[in-house]
Amino acid sequence: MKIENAKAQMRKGVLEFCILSILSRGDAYASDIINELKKSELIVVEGTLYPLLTRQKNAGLLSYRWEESQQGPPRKYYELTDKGREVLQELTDSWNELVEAVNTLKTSVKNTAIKLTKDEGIN
Amino acid sequence: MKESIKVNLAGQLFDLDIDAYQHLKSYLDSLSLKFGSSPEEAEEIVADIEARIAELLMQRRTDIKQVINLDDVKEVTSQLGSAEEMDEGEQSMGNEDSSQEPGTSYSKGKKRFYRDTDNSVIAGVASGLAAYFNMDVIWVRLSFVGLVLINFILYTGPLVFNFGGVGLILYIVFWAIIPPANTTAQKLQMKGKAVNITNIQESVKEEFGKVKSNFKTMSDSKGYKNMQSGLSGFLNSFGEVLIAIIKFIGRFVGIVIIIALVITIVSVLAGGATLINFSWFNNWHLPDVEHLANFSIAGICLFLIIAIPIFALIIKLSKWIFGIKSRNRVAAGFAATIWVIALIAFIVMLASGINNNTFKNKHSKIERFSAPKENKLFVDVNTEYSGSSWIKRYQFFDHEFVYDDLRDHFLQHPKVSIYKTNSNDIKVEVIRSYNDVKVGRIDFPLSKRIKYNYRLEGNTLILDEYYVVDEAYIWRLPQVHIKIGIANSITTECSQRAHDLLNVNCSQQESRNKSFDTKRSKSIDSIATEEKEDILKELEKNI
Repeated sequence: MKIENAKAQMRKGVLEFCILSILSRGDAYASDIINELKKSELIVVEGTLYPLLTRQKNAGLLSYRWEESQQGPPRKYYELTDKGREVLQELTDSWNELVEAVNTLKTSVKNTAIKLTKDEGIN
Repeated sequence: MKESIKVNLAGQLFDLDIDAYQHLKSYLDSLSLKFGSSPEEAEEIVADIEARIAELLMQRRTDIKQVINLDDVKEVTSQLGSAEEMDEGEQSMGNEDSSQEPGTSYSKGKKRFYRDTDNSVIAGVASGLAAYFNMDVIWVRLSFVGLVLINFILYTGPLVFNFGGVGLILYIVFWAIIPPANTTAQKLQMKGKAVNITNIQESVKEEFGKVKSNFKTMSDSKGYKNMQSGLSGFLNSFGEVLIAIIKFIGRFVGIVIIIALVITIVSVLAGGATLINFSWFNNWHLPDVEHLANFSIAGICLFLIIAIPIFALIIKLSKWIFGIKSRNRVAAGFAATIWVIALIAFIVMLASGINNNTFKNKHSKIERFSAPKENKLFVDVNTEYSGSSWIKRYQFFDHEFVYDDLRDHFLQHPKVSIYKTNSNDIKVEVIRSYNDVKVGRIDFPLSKRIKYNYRLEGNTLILDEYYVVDEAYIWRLPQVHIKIGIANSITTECSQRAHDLLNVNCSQQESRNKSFDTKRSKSIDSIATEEKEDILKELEKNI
């Protein structure tokens, strides 16, 4: 299994969560969200974002208003809705549980390994 | 010097090089295809992406460099990502293998049924069919025309089926069901080519080339006409004028027919009275129009009432079977309106008694004759009237309507019944059943409005073949019933004519092959006093 595939799989689950998180810090344009995600290397191409934004908007998690812009056509200015905040909270809880579970698993594996070597060492 | 194309992206105007335009168009087409499964979302997503593209392109535009070139488009589209690259945010579609060629197919050569509106004569139905079945368009067109002609040759069934028949109905059904191939992707699917980036690019180039060459042939032909010899030039323009005249006449006749139909519908709805006397149509020598309209209105309404829902069902079923999702609200609303109108018209017609049998007035006139010589009576028919050259006959299902074009009269066969009595004379009773109608400007007496005559010559009773009514009775033709009571002691014989034309049933000694000489002499004036009194009564009523 290629490494790139595994990474892509990990990213896929998380993008929607990240969009909601970014918006929870403040309202933003689509391009702002894109830049943040690019910085954290979570997306490579911008086009990934638009379908996700539209679907979340249609699901009632986001809303937007139009803002005029000097650099071109009017742009959508997104903000989180109450429903979006709820979903974000749930996803955050779920994420935390996941992280804790994985960390616990890693530590328990480590402890078991130390224990085994100790046992062998003492004897 | 290069040509450039003006493009509108999210409301911003851009000038693009031709190759840049083609690249951008195939990119946007591939996006519509990708999001094609959820069309409502797709529109919004693509619009957002277009807006972003516009933003990025504006940054590359300067006073020095006003036209967008291919490199610009390529950079912008790679920044936004190709259709597959965008998937990194969602469930994987199909293969995990990311080492695919850039020309990935989204759908491999699956042939879908579309109307080809680019190569259409009427609506692209034939072209679409030809593309789906991989045959030359000519054959499909010929078969449609053939189906239409067959119906004209074999005159069967209700009138309406003969306006083009099976061919026309099939064509209309196809027109309604099969959606047109609008986007490039759809056009490729119609022809059964794999829908991938390469094919889309080729298809876009092809369409573009076609538009260009059309422009070229137009400008060429103008120059070409100047070079044509005088004769062929004249023939050409003559032909064009002729075609224009034919089109105009066709439309004109069509409009006349439609107006006639609408007028009759309106006057039916106004309660069955004749608002309009159709005589003004006669000046145009179009008697066929009015009769068509009258006798077929009920038929057409009934047909529409039954046919439209059936049509709608057929179309719905077919769409469901073939999984076609196109919606045509305008056509559906139109059909629904027509159906409601037909229903209302039909109900009104039923209510106003066109098809039932109760008349408001019934008039009976009785005349008695003493027994003829030798107690023998012959019954014959006077067929003088039907020899006129201006008699027209129309067949509507099983009923024959006869019309006197010169005098605007209807002719109908009376009902004749003969029965035996215990008296010793002959009693002839003429019963006229009718509804009140204004005939012309003066009210004529009944005997002139519904004319029927008979005479007794010697021992032959000669009945008129027809009773004659003014066309004002057009909505509800009066009925005439002749009851002949013959004494038991008198033997009766009917001529073959009486039997054939009037359905006269002589229970005694039916002679099969005798025809009687009818002297064309003046009829004996045998108006009984009763009839005179009737005429006076009518006149009194009308004063």
